[in-house]
Amino acid sequence: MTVSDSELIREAKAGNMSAFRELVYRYDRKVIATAMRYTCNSDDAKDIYQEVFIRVYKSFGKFEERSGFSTWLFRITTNVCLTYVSRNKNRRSVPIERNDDDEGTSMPMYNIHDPHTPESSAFAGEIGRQISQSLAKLTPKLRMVFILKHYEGYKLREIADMMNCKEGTVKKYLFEAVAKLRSDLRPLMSEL
Amino acid sequence: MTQHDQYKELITLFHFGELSEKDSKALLRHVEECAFCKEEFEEAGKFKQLLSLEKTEELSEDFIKDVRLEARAALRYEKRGTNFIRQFIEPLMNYFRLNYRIIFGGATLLVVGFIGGYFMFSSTKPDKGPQDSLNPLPFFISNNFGLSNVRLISNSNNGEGLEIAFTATKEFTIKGGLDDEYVQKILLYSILNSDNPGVRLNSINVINEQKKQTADTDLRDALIIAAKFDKNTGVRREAIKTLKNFPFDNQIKNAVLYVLSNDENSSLRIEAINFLMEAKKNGFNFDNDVYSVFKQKVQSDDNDYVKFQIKSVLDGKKEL
Repeated sequence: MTVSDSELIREAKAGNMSAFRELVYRYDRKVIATAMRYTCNSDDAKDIYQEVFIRVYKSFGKFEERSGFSTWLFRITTNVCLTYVSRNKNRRSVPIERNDDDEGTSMPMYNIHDPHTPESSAFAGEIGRQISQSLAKLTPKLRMVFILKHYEGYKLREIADMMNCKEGTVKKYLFEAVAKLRSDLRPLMSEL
Repeated sequence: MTQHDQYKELITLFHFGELSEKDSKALLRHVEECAFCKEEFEEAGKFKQLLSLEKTEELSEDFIKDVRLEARAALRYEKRGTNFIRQFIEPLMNYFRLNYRIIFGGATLLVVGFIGGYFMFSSTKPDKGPQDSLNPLPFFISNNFGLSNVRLISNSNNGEGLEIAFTATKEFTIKGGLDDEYVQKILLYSILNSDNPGVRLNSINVINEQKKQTADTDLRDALIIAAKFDKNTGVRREAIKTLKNFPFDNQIKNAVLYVLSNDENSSLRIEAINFLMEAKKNGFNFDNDVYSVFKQKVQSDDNDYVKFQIKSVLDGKKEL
């Protein structure tokens, strides 16, 4: 039987580190994925995750369960991402799609389940690369709103709660992000 | 803002699933009637179609494990840092708290002395703190702790007596193999938390001296953390050597590649190369991760000998 979040929270607050880890590990894949999307760099994504993990641990005693744990975790993740400055500003962003000649991280970050033909797969790979590059050009807030909305599927009001701003502001960010991405990706759209 | 601009925003909200059913119907009715908005609607649809063509990718389990492992290590180091600060700050805080009590107590005594006169004064005893209520035979004596480093802190003549500091230690022994829960816990604690590199090294050697394969993942993870992050070169070296006692898996491979990529000590990078060669001899086929790091290091390593070793491996000349 699966232990509920509340139970794990109670045990973790009593000092049970295993319960704390289990609770975090229930939701941390989204944290890692968001950090990867946000930074396009596995080392920076690891840095962000570490910062989130430590902040969650340190402020766990103050968590009052007014919101779900995952919402609280993502609020912290959003904050960390928005204030994160890469330790190595010259660090090259690695494209998410990798090939054998790529250098950089020492392990595959993604398992790619690709049912497409080689041609469509190459096109899809190109789309992924272009989208990553276009996302990287957006300002941090626009990028974060787009990632939370499109990739993580949060509602705008939830994103507003995470980013501690009004829903109208989040809408404005989304419109701006979409307009910029559309403009940037127009050549690819014409191939559809 | 024109009417078209307003609809443009609604079109974006529609495609991102943020429009109510009623508003969606109204929007679609308008789109049918307005050529400008219809074009915008189709363009926005193309954009969403493009986004949906992006490959669905899942983070690999190895990557997730690695990220988590490093976060746990970072937290441990953070805790150690906090403990270090506490070790120095708290005695200082206690010192000030104690002085505050003495000053306040002294002032109170003075006032009471003026008001109460001789009887009150004679009945007042200095506050010795909560220790007065302790068992007269302290636990460290009744439990045969070893006492060392005894020193006199203060020798007061006003009736408070002596203040003595000392270190009380007691040795415990347990017996068990590497799979014993308590043996493991003590070794893990020592490898990850001891401030003394000699103690960390000894603990790793205890595992190494078993000279038998073990598959315990907690011990393996502790050694991986030590091999990657310990500040002491000797400890990192022993950790990486000891990892050879564990079945070679992706976690170990990634740790060895991390050492090869990042360790500032060239002899450890050589150790990592030899580790991989040994794994290859035992049946591990070099994969893209290994070749990728080799290719990078053969060009960028600042040590010529490391470059030479890697080049020998790549050329197929280096054998065990």
